This record gives sequence, structure tokens and C-alpha cells, in this order.
Amino acid sequence: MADAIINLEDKQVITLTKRSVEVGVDPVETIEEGLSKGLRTIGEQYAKGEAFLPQLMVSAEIMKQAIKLLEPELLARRRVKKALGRVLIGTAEGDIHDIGKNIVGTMLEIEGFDVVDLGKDVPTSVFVKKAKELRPDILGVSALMTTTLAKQRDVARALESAGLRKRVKLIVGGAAVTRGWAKEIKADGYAEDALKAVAVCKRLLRVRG
Amino acid sequence: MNSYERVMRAIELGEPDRVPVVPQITYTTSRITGIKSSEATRSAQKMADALLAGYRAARYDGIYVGWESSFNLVAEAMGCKLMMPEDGIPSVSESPVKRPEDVEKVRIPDPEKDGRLPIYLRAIDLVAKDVKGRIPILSYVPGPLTLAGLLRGTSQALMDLIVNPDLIRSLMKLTAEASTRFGLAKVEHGADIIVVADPTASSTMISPKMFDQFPLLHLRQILSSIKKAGGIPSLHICGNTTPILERMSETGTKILELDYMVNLAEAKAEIGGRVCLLGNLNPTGPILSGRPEDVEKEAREAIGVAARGGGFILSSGCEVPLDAPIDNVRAMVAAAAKYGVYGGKG
Repeated sequence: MADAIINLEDKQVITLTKRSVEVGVDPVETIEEGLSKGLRTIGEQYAKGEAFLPQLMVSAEIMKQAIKLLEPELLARRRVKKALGRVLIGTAEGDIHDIGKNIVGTMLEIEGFDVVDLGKDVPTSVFVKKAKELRPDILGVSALMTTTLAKQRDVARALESAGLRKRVKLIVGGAAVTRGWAKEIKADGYAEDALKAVAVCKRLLRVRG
Repeated sequence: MNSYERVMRAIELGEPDRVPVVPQITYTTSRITGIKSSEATRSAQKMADALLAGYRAARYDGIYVGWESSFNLVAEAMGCKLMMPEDGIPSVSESPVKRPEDVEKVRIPDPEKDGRLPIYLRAIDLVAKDVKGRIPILSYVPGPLTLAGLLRGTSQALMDLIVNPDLIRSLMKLTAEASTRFGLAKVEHGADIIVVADPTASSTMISPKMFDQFPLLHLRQILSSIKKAGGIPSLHICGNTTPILERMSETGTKILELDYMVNLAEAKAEIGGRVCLLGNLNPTGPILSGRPEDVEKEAREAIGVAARGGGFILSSGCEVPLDAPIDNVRAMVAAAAKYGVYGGKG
């Protein structure tokens, strides 16, 4: 199944997923030993410049469809995927660029984080409301334009006023963000690309590896 | 030697009196004339006034006449909806090609009539009236893949490269034609250098193989049409283009605009003998948030690795951000005069 993902054979992935349910394979195993494994390989190739965004995006899409098929089975068996932690991500208000943010989300999911994506053009108040509601370990705000950078600071301040700042780690990223800016707004983490973002999240939550 | 001669000498891969410096600065000049950035997207006069004020404030060697990214502008004329902040940069918020059959609805815009394209042509008229022949006028047109991506939604378009390549091919036929027409109109209105900007074609986004299979042929055609019409073609693909430097240098372009992720010394060695390189200071680095001396240092390094033998124009790797201080642009210009003087007669 991992190979089918790597080769972007969507029909075969779906067929294999259906069969795994029919013969009673533990859906968590299907995800971890099959789907995630394939996606992780593409993620590694992407990191080395051997695979590119289109492959990564298509494989992530195939995996999403396959997981949808497994959901009833996961529920029936009351199995939950174990997660390294919950990460809430979104693109700052006024900014509708989301490819980079989506890739970070995909890479975090591959690594075993529970990712909740708030989408793009997310108002500061929504970041705070969702952070209260969903109690993530990490909140990630993306900004692709120099004109929307300031919204990352707004989120930092709003978390502070809501008394959430100690409970939630704030990470920032996006083409317009620099390490200096991350420091200035007192973010807990910054990374210039999706792979480093995964490493930053692991470090913040003290996950090994 | 005036700015026009200086830039032309560099384009012909020769050594001018000194390294020409042409920062990619457009909307940032709104800060000088005190208008909101969006005002110039509706007024050719305000746009031209700001661009000329920017020139007078920093005295660089060429003026990019445009404002928002040309691909958003043309995308709007082809049916995309834009989100346009009053004092910010517009971006596409809705794409018309939701289903493959929607391609049929996409129309190639007439630059003299459709959308806000005529405003941008008029701005070229106004700037040309003032500087034509003394200072080169550069102007962007959208690259075929980037524009196709906006019409389809960039995420979906990237996946379509694998799952529905024919859709992207049909779209690119339209976008390449739209881009060519806009480019030719810009030449007619007085632009000297037409810059085809195709960031989605960069290796940050797609593989070199996909670059060959999708935008390459269209890029060649657009650049060649510009040349035939008497314009000087330039190719601007931001992001990391290291794996496709050679391919880009063989598109028929005279200038290659390189972003800051590309190692300039390596690019100079690889393709510097074939095309004029333009770049590549980090637009969101010292230019945006550093001091003038930081910009000077970065510019000095770029000149150090790329000026040798000519064929180099100092610039930012991409557009100068809205809130970059003009003093940092001045520092870039000063660095060209200070460190970029050639030994020959010029």
C-alpha cells in the first residue's frame, strides 16, 4: 500500500484500503504501516528535492480519501490514532495564501500530530476562540505577505490577554517571516520550511527523533 | 553613460561604466507620494506619479512600471475575484475554473479595454513621456503557469499537473496568449523590457521535469513574440530556480531575474556567459528590516560574485515589500556606485 501511495495510484490505494477493512485489518495499522509510511517516503523525497509539491499534495489527498473509508471502522473499534500532540494552524487575517501552511499541516500529520486546520484569512479572534475550545499544544500562524505579518503579533497579544499564552506554544512561518520577527513577537518557534517546522514542533513538545 | 546605455550594455553582456542597479520597486513608492497602495490600482496618474517619485528619491537605473503583481491584474480581467486591501497588496480570492468545463468560459482580455489593464498601459505612457530613452522602462506580464494556476486555484492546479494535465495545457494556451497580448501592448506603449513572471514554474513549486512539460514551451513563445515586437525579453521566476537555471537561460530571454535563494556565484559560473543576470538581494531580509549598511553589505557581496565581466544588474530578488524604507533602496543604489565601478572605459 505504501508503494501505491508513493506511485500516486489512487485507485489502487482505495482498493487496498477497502480490502483491508473486509479482511479485518486493524485500521490503525493500515494507516501507520501503509498510508503514512508511503506519505512519509514522499515527504523525505520532498525534503531532498527529489519530489515536489504536486506529488506531495496529490499523495496527501489520496491518503485523506483512504482515511475517510477507514473512519467507520476506527469508530466501530473505538480506536483512536495516537497523536504526538495537537497543532492548530491557519493563515493570518487578510492573507489568502495557503499552500505553505497546507504543506506544514500535511508534514505534521505524517509525523503523527493531530492537526486542525483553520484555513486561510483567519481572524485573530477565531485563532483565540479555537485555541480555547480545542486546547491545542501548539498554535501556528502563517503569513505570506509583509503586509499581514502584523497579524501574527496580534494573535500573540490576543493569546496573552486571553490568558492562553502559557498553555499554548505559538509558532510562526510563511514567506514574509524571519527569525528576527519571530523573536520580536516572542513566538516560541519559527521555521523557514515545512520540514524544519516539524522539527520545531517536536522540540517544543519534547518529542524524540 | 546614462542609465539607459548602462542597462543596455549589461544586457548585451558587456561592462558598462558601473554595475547598473534596478530594484524591483513598485507599490512601495506609494509611501513617498503619501497615497494608499490601492489608489494607484485605479489611477494611472497616481501610479505614474508614485513610480517617478520613487525614481527621484533613489535614482536607480530603471523603472518597473506596474503595481500589484501583473498576474493578479490579468487574472482579474480573466474572471478571478480579487481581495483588495485598501493599503495592501491584492490577491486572488476566487478562481473561475471550478470544474474542468469552465475553461470554455475563460476569455483572453483585450489590454486596451478589459479590466484594469488600460490603466497600467496608460501609466507606461505617462512614465515614458518623462524618461523614455534616458531610463529604461521595465514592465511585468504574467507567466503562463502562474496565471493558469490563479484561474484554477493554485493548489488545485498543482495537483492537476498530475491528475488532469490536459486541463492545465488548455488553460495555458489561453494564459500564454493573454500574456503575449499584454506584453505586446506594453511594448507599443513604451516599455523597453518586458518581464515574464512565472513564480509557480519555480522549483520551489514544481519539478524540473514538469517545468519542461508545462510552462517551458509557452515561455519560449511569449519571450520570442516580445523580441519580435522590439521589446527586450526578461524572465522572472522567483523562489528556488537552481535546478532549472540552464533551461531558463535557453528560453530566448536576454535577462534572468534571480531570487535570493539562488546562489549568485554559481549562477554566474553556470549561465552568466549566456544571459544577463538581475538580482538577487533578499527582499524580506535587510531591505525590509535591516539598516542601510546591512543592505550595502549584501549588495557588495552580490557585486563581488556577479559583476565580473559585465552582464549583471543589481536588484532585489523579487518585489521590494510595501513597508521597506526608501533609505534601504538608496543604500542599494549607492552600493552599485561605490563597489560596482568597472575598470574599463565603460
